[in-house]
Amino acid sequence: MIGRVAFSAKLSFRRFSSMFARDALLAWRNGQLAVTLAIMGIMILLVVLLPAQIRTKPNEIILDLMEGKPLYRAALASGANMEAFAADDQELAKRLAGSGTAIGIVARENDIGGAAFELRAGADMPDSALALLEASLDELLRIADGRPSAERFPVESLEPAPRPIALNLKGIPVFLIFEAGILGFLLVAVFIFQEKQEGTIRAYRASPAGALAYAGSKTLVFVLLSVLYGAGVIAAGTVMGARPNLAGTLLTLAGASAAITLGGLGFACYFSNLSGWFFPGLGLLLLNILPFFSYANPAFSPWWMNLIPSYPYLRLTESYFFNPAATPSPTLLWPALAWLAALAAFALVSVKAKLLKEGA
Amino acid sequence: MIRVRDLKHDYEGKGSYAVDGVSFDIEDGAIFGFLGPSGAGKSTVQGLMTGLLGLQKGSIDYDGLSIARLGRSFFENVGVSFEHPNLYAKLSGLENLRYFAGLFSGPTEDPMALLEQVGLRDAAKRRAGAYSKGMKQRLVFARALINKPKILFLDEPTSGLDPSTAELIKGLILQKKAEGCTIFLTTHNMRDADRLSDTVAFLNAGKIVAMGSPRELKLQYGAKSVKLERRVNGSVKEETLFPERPEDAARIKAYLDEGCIETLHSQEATLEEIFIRLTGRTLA
Repeated sequence: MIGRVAFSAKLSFRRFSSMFARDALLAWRNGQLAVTLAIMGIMILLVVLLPAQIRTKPNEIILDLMEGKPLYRAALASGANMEAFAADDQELAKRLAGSGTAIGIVARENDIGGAAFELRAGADMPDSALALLEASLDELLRIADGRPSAERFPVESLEPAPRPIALNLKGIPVFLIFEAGILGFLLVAVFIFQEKQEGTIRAYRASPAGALAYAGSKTLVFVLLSVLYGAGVIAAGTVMGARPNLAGTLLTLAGASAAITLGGLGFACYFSNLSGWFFPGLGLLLLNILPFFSYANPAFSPWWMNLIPSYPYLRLTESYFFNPAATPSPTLLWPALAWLAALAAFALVSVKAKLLKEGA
Repeated sequence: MIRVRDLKHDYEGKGSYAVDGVSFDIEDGAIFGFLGPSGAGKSTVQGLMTGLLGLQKGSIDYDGLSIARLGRSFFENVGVSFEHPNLYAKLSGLENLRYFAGLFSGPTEDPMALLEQVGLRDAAKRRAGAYSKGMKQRLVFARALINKPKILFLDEPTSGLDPSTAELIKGLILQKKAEGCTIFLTTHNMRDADRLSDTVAFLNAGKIVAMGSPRELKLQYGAKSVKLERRVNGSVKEETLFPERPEDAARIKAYLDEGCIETLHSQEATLEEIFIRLTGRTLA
């Protein structure tokens, strides 16, 4: 019994290693390794060349035409950036014309001795920006008049405030999942359509190797490509000051790559060529990109975002990359593992039903 | 032994059968020639016999075991050579064979020795995409032999080959037969089928219209005739006579008595002529 199991394992390993060697060689000769390395190079350049912080000039330019320039004096007294003030109407007009996006605020006394403000903007301002501006000007007037500041609400922090993340490092989780989620999905489809076009899949059908070895060898190639790519991007991030949980980040990346490759492989089985796949495939790619927007703007996190495969992997990567002591959150880990299992099952069923049968 | 019974296959499920009631047996170590024009259903039958198409109606048994019960291990002892070369264009000939050899659990042929046998040794390290059509065909044939198969499915194995290479391949087919390999040969080349097959079956519109050894078919469907040339007044005259007709038998005897016959050949119907006679179609 043990001997039979050992023989079976040896045979499976021989078959798998033969297929892996072929797929790896094809990935090299098809230029997939080169594409991955080129994109890795671009991402590394972004990490290295993007600034840690973007310093912006004041976007509001104030012209204080009130008697005694109370706003100007209040700002000066409170140590504010005085570049925000224009000396006269001419300077204001010149600076507004030069900026394009700046907002001009002209303060005058009204008929009853109060302050009136005229806004000069190139476009309509959103209500939220107007409200913020109003609050800022109100605070400035309070300081100028020597009145107490508006009531402040007490703020209690439940956890220590997180360290601000440098801009050039902030994008790294997206850069990492981009390769697995986008390139992996696309490149594995190219691989399968090449085999269909060359007819080699027909030869494979007439061999004893089955769906598991077929899906497994391709997945391993793409996981290794992802890990190689990830290692380069993570190394660049580390050089630029990040202190990631390396094992956690790479394992998450490998899981993401395996899940998306298997999903892409299963999906490609239902199409005969790249042109038939293109629009449905593009739709899925766009769907898989949505979590990137949620990551950039966390306010955009509708409930269904959790149902997109790349979402838990992106959030896990973020957690591991920026927090070396992170323990995986069950609300992210379980969906990630569930996606991996579901997409593996989908790939195996699809390969068996659609690739290993003629005319299916 | 391979036993096929009442095989039917309908691709669209609308009662239009691409293969309709096909039955035959193939003895171990025999070459079974499966002949028919394009669209006759040859590839469908081969697809069903290799399990690549799902069995709808009828039965296919290998040594008494239904193909429906054979798993993928069935392919351990099967070699399939496809009509259209299907190779990894970016792998060399040697890499194509090495990769395929790795898929089998049993002993396999030495890839380089196989390439030598099909005349591709010098091109072993060249990418298959750069091969000519004939070279690709030979490589596909070599790949079918890599696992030392007991059953070979060959689909137009000499298609696109020059005469000397075709002879080489036919020699290898006969060698495999001599080694005990059972061969299912799909072709529309009647000469190849005649020379190689122990049994041939004519397939037309999904049905077998005639089956037997090439000799049996020729005797059954062909008229026995002789073609002779005799000298008459200094010039050579050609005649075809049918010995089973009393008047023609008498003429042949008379010519022999006269001693005027210069050449005398027995005339057999070719398989192609029989096919045309049975179906009204050519094989092209």
